[in-house]
Amino acid sequence: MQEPALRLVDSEDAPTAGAVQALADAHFAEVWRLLRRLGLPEADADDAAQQVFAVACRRVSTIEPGRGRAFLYGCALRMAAKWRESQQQRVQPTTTGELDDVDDEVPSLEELVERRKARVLLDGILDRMPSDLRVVFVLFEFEELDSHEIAALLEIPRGTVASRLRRAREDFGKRLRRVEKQLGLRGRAP
Amino acid sequence: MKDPERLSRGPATELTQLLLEAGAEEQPSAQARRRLAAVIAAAAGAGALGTSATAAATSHVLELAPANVASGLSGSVPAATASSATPAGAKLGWLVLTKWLGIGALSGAAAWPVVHQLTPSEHPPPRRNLTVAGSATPRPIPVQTRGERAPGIASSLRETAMKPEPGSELHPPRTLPPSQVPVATTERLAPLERVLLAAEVRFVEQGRAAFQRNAFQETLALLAPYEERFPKQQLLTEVLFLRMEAFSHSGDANRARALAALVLSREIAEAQAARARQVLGR
Repeated sequence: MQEPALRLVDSEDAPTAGAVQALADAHFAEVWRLLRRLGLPEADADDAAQQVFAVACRRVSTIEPGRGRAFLYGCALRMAAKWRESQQQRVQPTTTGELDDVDDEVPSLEELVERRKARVLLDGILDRMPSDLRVVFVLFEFEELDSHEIAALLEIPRGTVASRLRRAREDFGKRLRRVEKQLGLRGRAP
Repeated sequence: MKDPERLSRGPATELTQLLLEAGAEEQPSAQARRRLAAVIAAAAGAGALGTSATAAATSHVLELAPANVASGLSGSVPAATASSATPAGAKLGWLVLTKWLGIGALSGAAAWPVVHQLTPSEHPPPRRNLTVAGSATPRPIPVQTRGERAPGIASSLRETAMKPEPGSELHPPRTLPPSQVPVATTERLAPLERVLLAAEVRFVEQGRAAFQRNAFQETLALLAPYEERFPKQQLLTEVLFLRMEAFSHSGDANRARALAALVLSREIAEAQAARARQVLGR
């Protein structure tokens, strides 16, 4: 028997702007950052994040208490997928095991001290990762969801989450090692 | 099946840490926040939502922590903002870094918040800089394995850090003699060295901060992977000194004396030498 969702109300039948505002206060930056790490440029992430909360406005009465973040992340993932589909000239991730050459995109170490440059490099590496791996990687490493939460969010088995995370880390590590070699850094791969 | 340790908390290269931190700390612009508020207000005005209730009442229904709601759009993610540093802040940090290393490394408690434009009272500890919880004996940080799920590791580390070790409440926060180990100023360092040195400084500062909280086991655990992570070991003397103090204050006199002898064999400031001799019982 499906448990009815509790309604976010302060009166019997009136959902409130305060509920959505509270969700925004708590999770807007997280949602926005998730969209950014999934490949959306800043302006597109702004728009997509607003669309996420616009959906929340429409469906606030069905969001279960304590499930706001999961609801928002689910919306954000769908927004990001739609955005990817709409891109005509998106960089295709490699599937043959060969690594794309990122050498021409690597800023200097001095530039990397500036966070924006570091994010450009990071996003360039993530852009070359297959999208199914990237989503799991971003949710685990940046949003710090555990595998149970990711599995529930993506509606995939937990073993699949673990497999994708492992492959994502391998992909990330290979690309990072190439960058480190180019920059002349010593270090171990993650 | 257990989740692996997150890259930001396990042994990782400086570049990995740099990229992960940069990705985790990015924030939407103030304009984006204002537009969002307008979207929500417009939705309410269009009749999709009813009249607004107080955030506190709503947060109760949503089971959100009041602090999250009260923080408002300008600071809604304390964990994410805690480790942020604007480019301007990074440049300012180089000046402070020079001062920190050249004058009073270990006693410069103000250097940490200045470098990162934080004050401890305003933000919780950065969630990504702590690597492993303290243990009874120091041990190297394990290579990434499928250990226990660690969704709460950040919070458990913070709890460990916030909770004084037994008996420590009897002692005031520790101070250390200023370090005067000569270190090349940042102006003479190449960009690569500056980046690596900054990472090394942050690493050692974690240990120093734990020591000042009287969390001696945590100090040792945080400093354990130093030699492995920083092959150049530019701050080895500071690390050895911190370890010596941590062992000394946690009652392990043998290890403290061994480290004191090692510290005295290196080029160190007189204040540090005096303390090391004291540990040796001279």
